[in-house]
Amino acid sequence: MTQTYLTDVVRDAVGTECSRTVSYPIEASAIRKWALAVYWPEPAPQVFMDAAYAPEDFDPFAWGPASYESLLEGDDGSVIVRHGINERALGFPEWKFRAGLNGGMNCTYGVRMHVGDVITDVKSVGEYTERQGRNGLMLITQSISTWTNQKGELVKRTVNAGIRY
Amino acid sequence: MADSNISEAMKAAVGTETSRSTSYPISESDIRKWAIAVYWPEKAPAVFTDPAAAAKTVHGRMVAPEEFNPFAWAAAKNEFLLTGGLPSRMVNDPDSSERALGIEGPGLKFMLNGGMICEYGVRMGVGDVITSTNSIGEYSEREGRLGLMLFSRGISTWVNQNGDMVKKTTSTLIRY
Amino acid sequence: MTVKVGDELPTFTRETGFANWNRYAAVNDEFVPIHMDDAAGEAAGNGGAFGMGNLQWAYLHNMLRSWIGENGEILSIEVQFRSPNVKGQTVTAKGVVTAIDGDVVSLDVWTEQQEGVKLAPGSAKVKLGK
Repeated sequence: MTQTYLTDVVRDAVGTECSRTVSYPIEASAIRKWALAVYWPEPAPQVFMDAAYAPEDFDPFAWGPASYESLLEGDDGSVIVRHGINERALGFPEWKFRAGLNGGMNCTYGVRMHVGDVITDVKSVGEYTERQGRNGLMLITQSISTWTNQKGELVKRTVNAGIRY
Repeated sequence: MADSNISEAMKAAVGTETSRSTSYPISESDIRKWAIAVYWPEKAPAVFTDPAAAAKTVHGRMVAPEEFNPFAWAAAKNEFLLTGGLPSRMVNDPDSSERALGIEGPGLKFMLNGGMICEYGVRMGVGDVITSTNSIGEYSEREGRLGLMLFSRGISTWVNQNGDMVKKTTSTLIRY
Repeated sequence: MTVKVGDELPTFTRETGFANWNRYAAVNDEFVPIHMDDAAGEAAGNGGAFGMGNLQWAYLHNMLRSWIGENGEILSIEVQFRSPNVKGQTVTAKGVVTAIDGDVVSLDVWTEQQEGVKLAPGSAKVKLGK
């Protein structure tokens, strides 16, 4: 039975930047289709049909990024981790869990995304904590995704929480 | 041979334009996603995903797969060109296209999809605006296993912003 | 490339199911219950959800594009949808040269499932790339 998940390699990793993903330039048609999909079956607001800017939840990485690089030493980036961080490449132990749960998302928004913007997503290691629960020792993790545009302005910072046991 | 199902009014209707749609300008991401989807799970050819690779081809720019649909999700403009149609008599009325023209159809009971033929002209590429015009095609009939069969055609003609023909699709409906 | 009547084109094969049907639906905005939902597909007599004819159409185009090369042209293509693309099928797009007239090559093209049953038979005319 696990005594603790929070070994030195895990504690020392907090704050480490793991990957940099860059989007293709955002196009009007992608904003339109996103809006049509999320408002269906009602029409999407005209501001999105005109692609004045994108809905906050818009994902310019859908269908694939323009580029992906790992920022971790010894990781050639051939394994693309689209969501979250590459725990293997960080040298974390190969934990075995019975279950994993999405603990929720917390987003802080900066500037809006516009047609022509190129978005960079840097993923980093957030807090790793643990607590005893009904299901035994639970590992509670955060992965952080920071989006900036081509001017370096903050677009969005997302903290994704996960619970594993 | 039984009496013809093709009335004078139907013959006169051939060539009538029924509707027109104008696409939004085609974007790189539209072409890329279409190509990813139709080649999945293998990578799509670079000509459809990488502007630099596409610039080196005979097209000199990123072009779309021939079967690409620039009207998916939304058109910039839709126009219905017919007025004075007759209401449908039922769901999936076999005479619906004649009635939309304001004329009586032959009143045949059964319908079959007779297939589709596409003729391609110039390629669609990034920035192109496509106009699609639907029109009534030729009627013909012949005796077959199922009796006197009526072949009617709907034509969809796509042109780009320069007036170049991009695609002409003829869809055939068989009624008997 | 020298071409003669009877030549068989390199094939294009895909295992089909929701993974590719859904991706195609997303780009073509073709969200139809018979292609998304087993109950609707069963009510239509096909045992469950089945794939859209337009994806078979795209696979035929993929096969032709690969053969003609970047400089080639697909001039025309026609197809009929005879048998549905139900779950669990491996679909192969095939073609055979039927006539050559100058630089225009006529072909029989079709898609078939893993036992050779034709799903969408048709024909096409292409110009080969130089």
